[in-house]
Amino acid sequence: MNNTPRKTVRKTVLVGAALSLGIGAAACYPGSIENIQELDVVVTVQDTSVDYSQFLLYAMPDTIVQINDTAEGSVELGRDHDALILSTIAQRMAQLGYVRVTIPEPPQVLPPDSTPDLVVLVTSVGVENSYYAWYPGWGYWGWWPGWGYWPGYGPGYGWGYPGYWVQGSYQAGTLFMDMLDPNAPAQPVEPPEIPVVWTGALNGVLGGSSAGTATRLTDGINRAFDQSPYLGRN
Amino acid sequence: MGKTMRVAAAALFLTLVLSAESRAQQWFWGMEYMVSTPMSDTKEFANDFSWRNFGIQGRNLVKDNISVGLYFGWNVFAEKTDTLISFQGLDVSGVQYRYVNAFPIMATAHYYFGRRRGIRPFIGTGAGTYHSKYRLEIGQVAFEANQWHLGIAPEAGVIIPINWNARAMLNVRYNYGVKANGITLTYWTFGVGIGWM
Repeated sequence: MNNTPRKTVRKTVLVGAALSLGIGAAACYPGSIENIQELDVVVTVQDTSVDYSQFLLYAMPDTIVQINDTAEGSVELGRDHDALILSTIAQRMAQLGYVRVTIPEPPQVLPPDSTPDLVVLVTSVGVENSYYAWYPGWGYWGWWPGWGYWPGYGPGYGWGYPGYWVQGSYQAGTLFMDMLDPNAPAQPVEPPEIPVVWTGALNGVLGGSSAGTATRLTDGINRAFDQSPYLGRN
Repeated sequence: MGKTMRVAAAALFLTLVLSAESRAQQWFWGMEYMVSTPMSDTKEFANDFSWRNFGIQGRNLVKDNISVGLYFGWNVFAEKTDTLISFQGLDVSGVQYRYVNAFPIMATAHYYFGRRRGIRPFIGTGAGTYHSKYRLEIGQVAFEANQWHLGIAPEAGVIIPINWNARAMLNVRYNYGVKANGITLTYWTFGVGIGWM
């Protein structure tokens, strides 16, 4: 088929223009989520300046603090899985060689060398992407009698997360595990912050009535520890 | 993007002008289906032997054994992975869907062996730009980045006569988009096509 050059050029320009315009809108994304577990995301953050083998004793309150309100998109956080969550974390901490210290209530004088090196706090958040609500700090955790062993801390203190870590986008029903080092100097910012040396977050796993929630929680907690090989006494 | 687009537009314009002013009357129009495999950074992001590739081209035979033309393509790489994402103390795990949509927009030049109406092996290259879309989905969040790469696409193949006008074409093309924003776009395509002269 022979065409005049002018006609052919016009055809070329038309085809090219059509394709070029299509490029802006077109794209192919063939994958699709196969089950709800595929939506589970686990985020962990370490303080790269910390040697985690230096810690031995840790304290963990037997309560999961819930942060919630009635905002649209929030989920109702139950207590059905609290014991499972806390026991799974305790099990993994023990496997890492850390020893749990039980804090008596009210606080009493602990034997020498029995002050915890770490405090592990577990928080569930029923609000979506709520920076102000999530940031737990003293306002949510000040009730814990264990703070009595670090009298320097008090109202107004926040949690100082490592590095550039900021609380970005997360779903309602996210579980946070924070590992604080209250023996380290408070971070010199305003308001002052207790250093957090490790954080694990299970995005959106809480809430709802899915029969698989328990499995997703244990899998997520285990994954958080598995992907943090720097933790532990060895 | 601005500089890259200007260079690409200039290359396309030059090709059209050369084609229009050439005395040769014969054009070859072709479309091709390809399979492709990513390399280097592209493979690292989405390691996929892809069955989703398509191209269309026009070549003006300015001499018996030389053509200049245009090539447009669409190459898709997709990978489902649970690879741990690590960055400066931050680790993220979860099922991820990763995609690269690459759109080469090229001016081309080819050299042909053999007789005009016979089986014609050829070598050539495209030069122009790749528009690429990188997308990562994890959980309910998606991250997307658009990038323009200046690039070349050396190619070898053969055109086989089917009848007086129709031609079959087999080709292999190395696609190379130079590094932009820290990412190099690299992949091979293996195509089979049909064309008309």
